[in-house]
Order: sequence, then structure tokens, then C-alpha cells
Amino acid sequence: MIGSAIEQMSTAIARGPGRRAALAGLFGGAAAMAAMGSASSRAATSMDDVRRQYPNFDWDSPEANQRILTRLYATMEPGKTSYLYFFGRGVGTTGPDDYTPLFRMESIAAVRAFPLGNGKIRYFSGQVILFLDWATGKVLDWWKNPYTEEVCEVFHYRDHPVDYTADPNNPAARYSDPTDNGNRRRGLIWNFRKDTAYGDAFVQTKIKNRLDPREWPRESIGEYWTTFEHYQWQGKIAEIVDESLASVPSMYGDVQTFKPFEPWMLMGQRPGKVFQQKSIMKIDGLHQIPRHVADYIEKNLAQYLDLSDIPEGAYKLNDEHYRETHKPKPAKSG
Amino acid sequence: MSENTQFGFLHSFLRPRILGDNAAQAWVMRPAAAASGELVEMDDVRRAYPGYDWADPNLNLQTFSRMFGTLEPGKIGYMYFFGRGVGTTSPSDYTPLFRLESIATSLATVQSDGAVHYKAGQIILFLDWNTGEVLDSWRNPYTNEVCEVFHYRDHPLGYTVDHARPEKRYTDDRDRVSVDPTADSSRGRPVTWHFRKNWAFGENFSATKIKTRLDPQVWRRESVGDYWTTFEHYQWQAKIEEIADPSIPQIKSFRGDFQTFKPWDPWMMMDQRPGKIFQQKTVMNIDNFDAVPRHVMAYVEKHMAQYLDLSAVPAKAFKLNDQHYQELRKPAAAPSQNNSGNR
Repeated sequence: MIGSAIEQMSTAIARGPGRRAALAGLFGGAAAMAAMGSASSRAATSMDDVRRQYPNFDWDSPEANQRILTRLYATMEPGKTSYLYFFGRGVGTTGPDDYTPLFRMESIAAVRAFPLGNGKIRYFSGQVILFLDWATGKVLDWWKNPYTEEVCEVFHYRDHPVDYTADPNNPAARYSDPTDNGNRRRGLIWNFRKDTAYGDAFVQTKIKNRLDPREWPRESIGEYWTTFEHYQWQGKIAEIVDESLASVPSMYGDVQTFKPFEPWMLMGQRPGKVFQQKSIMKIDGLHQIPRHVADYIEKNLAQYLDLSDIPEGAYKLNDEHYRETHKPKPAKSG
Repeated sequence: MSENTQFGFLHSFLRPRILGDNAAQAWVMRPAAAASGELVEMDDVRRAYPGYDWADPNLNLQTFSRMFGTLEPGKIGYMYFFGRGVGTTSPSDYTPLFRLESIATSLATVQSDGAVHYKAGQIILFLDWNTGEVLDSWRNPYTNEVCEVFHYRDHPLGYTVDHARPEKRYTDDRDRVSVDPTADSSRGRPVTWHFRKNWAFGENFSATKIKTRLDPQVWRRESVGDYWTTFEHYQWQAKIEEIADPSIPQIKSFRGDFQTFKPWDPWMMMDQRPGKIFQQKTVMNIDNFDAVPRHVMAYVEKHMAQYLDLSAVPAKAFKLNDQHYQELRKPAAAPSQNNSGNR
């Protein structure tokens, strides 16, 4: 759900100083500086270095963090549609020794941000994810499940319409950070290397599954849709600290997620996850992605990227679309 | 252990016939998009850079060397990564373990036949998940045992990567196998290139199976079993124009995203409990150590500098971390009652 990625990553935004203070002290301590020479002769590797170079930029407040995420993944220009693109791979894992190639993925998300003036930002979004053949990169209509040998009809992923507001001081309950011991009080952690700032967030999602396993025995993965996700983003420090840039051009992200099997894979309640590796960037239009992918989206899925008429409070995710367009398959005999 | 022989993993997929994957995508061409100047297909890139052959295995090998180090004769290249390690014992277990900081040094020499010889060394430091401090001891979240950390080191390494003559340890020796698990054959598949926004993205999947030096009969608490097995995904990217200019000895725009599933480290005292460390790493080349956090460099300079020194590395050497561990540690006894517990 990269269309709501900003909401997910907002989970990691602090209401208090959290771990940042400890990091700043460790990386920028006087003893370390004395041992290694003055910061002016070195690349920025600590928050203290960056603060000296850009003393007026706010890396700390939750509201500033929310703006940074929005400028990285979308644009702060009110109402302007931006496009986030990723490509990557999906690998099945049912245990520590199982890594089964499944498919490639190509995705576009459309996002519009509306700063609300109180630190909160409202977003409209839509997203599609195409599943492609692992070897050839062709968009799949059918796919042979390597676990069951069953040939499955592919249902390309779509979230639309989505309308949500991210409050940096009150992260959405449906997301949590599995690494902060439940106190939900840590800030974005920044690492600085060369001229680039790197941030990351761990997110664990637990959402009630709309595909009831009693009604959808073959499609549903169970009562809850649970994930473990790692988002990492990077951008040039000079661009991030320049808030006159509504969007950070140098943004690049790499994301690793462990997500449930898709309903169309017909995995039933078999334990396991799809390990997904994704490279993320912003694009200006479909001309920047592979042509056969752009063609498929234009022909079949363009409506899920249209943000012109998003109903207030809408939050329609892929499982609801699946439920509306499919009927439960009978349980396998035998 | 696989990226720790920094270029060793290349054996799992380099082979004489190297093609771009986009041949499969040539069945769709949109003139309007092609005319936009965006390079998204192999055909676009070939037209823009007709002098560079993306299918040449020697050029691909040299590209890796130019990204992960340098091909400037006699000059040492530095590769650096930072990242995280998360434990996983089942599809619903993701346990934060530690942060990682690593430096690798390499000295690459192109042979007359296009193969590349490397002298190399690497260290990986384990750091506290929250504070980023370099760890001396670490409380294992699975067992609650406090463990003495043994920072990772591979050194000395001297080996040759030749696509035409893969090293036996990655092919013929049944106890040392590294393959691309996604390929149809046992010997890898062509390098896959993707082109997006003037960047070239390449990737490789690698599964390694190596007989462990830490015999589980002797090292009952440290050994992961008879074999050290991994599943690894390496992705690298760089500006197309830099890759396509072989006269540039080091590709400065290189950045890598590595995701690996590797066995527990011996100092974690996980016995033979099933599981892996999922590691996420951000990789770059660096000109000097100024780009590395100071406390990390201070620790390296004080304790581990010798593993980055290539001045006396023999042409053929392959001493990995498990051998260092075997030499410097003794098998641990069973944990005492007051130092451990089961979660």
C-alpha cells in the first residue's frame, strides 16, 4: 500500500525526543570530534555536523518530519498530483529455508497532499501494482503457483479511492512500529553519509481482513492481514533543507516488506509471506516506465490513479475490490 | 559470508552469454514514448550509447569492479555499507537484533584475458539497534543470554573472478555451492538490467551453501549446523552514462541495496535453532574514511585495521570469518542458569 505509505511511515514520527537525542550525543560528542578532527574538514556523518551546516532547518519536530516525508514521497504543493513508482520482485517464504521466486512487480501510486495548517496533512491517493512474469517481465494474466502447481487468474492490486489524514502527533492505530516497544514516541532516525540523508521506518500492520476465511477459504489468509515492513528513503541533504522545494527531486527509496499472500494466489491459510524488494522513485509520467507496463495500466487500470473525485473519508483497499469482483472458490476436494 | 568475498558472489550468475532482459519487452514499443528521450528499454540505451556492449561479460565484470571498488591500477577501493539485522524464525517472527556498519577494501587487477584478480578484506561491526554504539556484549532477544560479540572479519582474500572459469568452490565442490536459485540451470542466468530515469539497475539472486568450519559436534552452541546457507539479493544502480564510459575507473554514482538472509553468527549462541538474520544494507563506494561515522572509524582503527590492510595479501588466500572465530575462540559451555532463559 504505497499510496498510503506516508501514513504508514508517519508511525515513526516522534511526539518526543525519543532516540534522536541519544544518537546526536553519540555521533557528535566532543571526544569523538577531538579524536577525528574538525567537522569542517569532513563529510557530514552526524546530526551535529548537519545542524552546523544548516542551523535553521528543523529535523526534530513531528510536524517537520511529516513535511519531509511528504516532500520526499509526493509534493507539498497543495492539490498537485505526484506519481510514485516502484519496481521489484516478490519471493515466497514459508520458513527460514524457503525462498521461492514468485513474480516481478511494477507499481504506480498517485498522491495529492493538502497541508491543513496544524501540522496535519490530508492525502488523496490511489495505487496499482502489476504482477509480471519473473523471467520475461510480461504482465501476467495467469500464473502457475509454485507451491500448489495450480494455475491462478491474476488480480492486479489496486487501492482506490483513499482519503486519509496523517497527524504526526497521533499515528494511525492500524500501524505500529515493532521496534519501539510500543511507546510510539520515537522520531525519524536520520543517517548522513556523504551528501545524502538516509531515513528509515519499520512498520507492522494488522488490519482485519475483509476476506473472511470462512467465506473465502481459498483466498483468505486468515482473520487478519499482517505485515512487517521496512521503508528506507534518501535524498540530498541540500534539497531536504531547502523548503522552497515542494518536492525533493533526488528522492530514492528502497523498501523491503513481508506481506501476506495475495488472494488470487489461492494459498488458503498456509503460513507464509511474500518478501518484496522494491526500488522507489518519483516519476513525471508514464513515459518514464517500461512501455508495456504503461500500456497495460492505461488500458486496464487508469481509473485507480484518477484522484479527481475522491469521496471524503474513502479508504477502499484491494481486498474490498477483490471481494466485489470475485466469488469465493470452493474448497479443494480431497 | 557471500558479499564478504566482495566479488565472489558474481560467480553465481556471470557466464559467457550475458543479455539484457528487455529483449523480452521489445514486443511493445510506443513511438511517442521512445521519442521522449527517456531510456527505459535496452534498445533505447543501445541507441543512446552504441559504443558500449551491455552483453559483454568482461565489461559487466569490470562494471562491478568499477562500482564496488576501482579499476585504477594499484589503487585501493573502499566499499561501505550500513544497515540492520532482523531475526526471523518463522513467517510471523521479525525480531530486531542490531545495526550493521561495514567497510571492505579491494585491490582489483584486470588480467589479459578480461578476468579480474582481487585482493580484499572486510569487516562488519555489530551496533546497538537503538543507540548505534558499537557492541561489546549483546543480549540475545531469543534466549535472553548475554553474548560476547565477535565482529565479523574476512581477511586475507586473494582470488580471481573469471566468467569463463568459475572457481571450483562455487561450482564443482558439493560442499561449497553458490548459485542463482531463480535460474533454470545450476549456473546462473544473464545479468538483468533495468533502466529508469537515466539510471541502470542490475540485480542478482544468490543462494550459497558452504560446509561450515564450526563442526556442530564441537561447537554445539556456536555452529548453525553442517552447512552455512544463505539466500541473497543484490541490487546495484548507477548512472547509465557512467557505466557506459569504461574509461572512468570508479563509478561514483553507484549505490546498492542488498537484502540477505544469512545464518546466525556464531557468537549469538543460537545452537542449531532454525532461523536466519534478514539483513538490509545500503551500499556505496567511498573515497576515504571521512564518510564513515566517527565512532565506527575510531573502533575500526583501534581494533580491526589489520583486516583492511592489503599490503601483504597473497595472490591466493581465502580466510573467512568462521576460520578467524575458530582460531580466536573456544567452544562455549552450556549456558548457566542465571545467564539465560528461553523466550
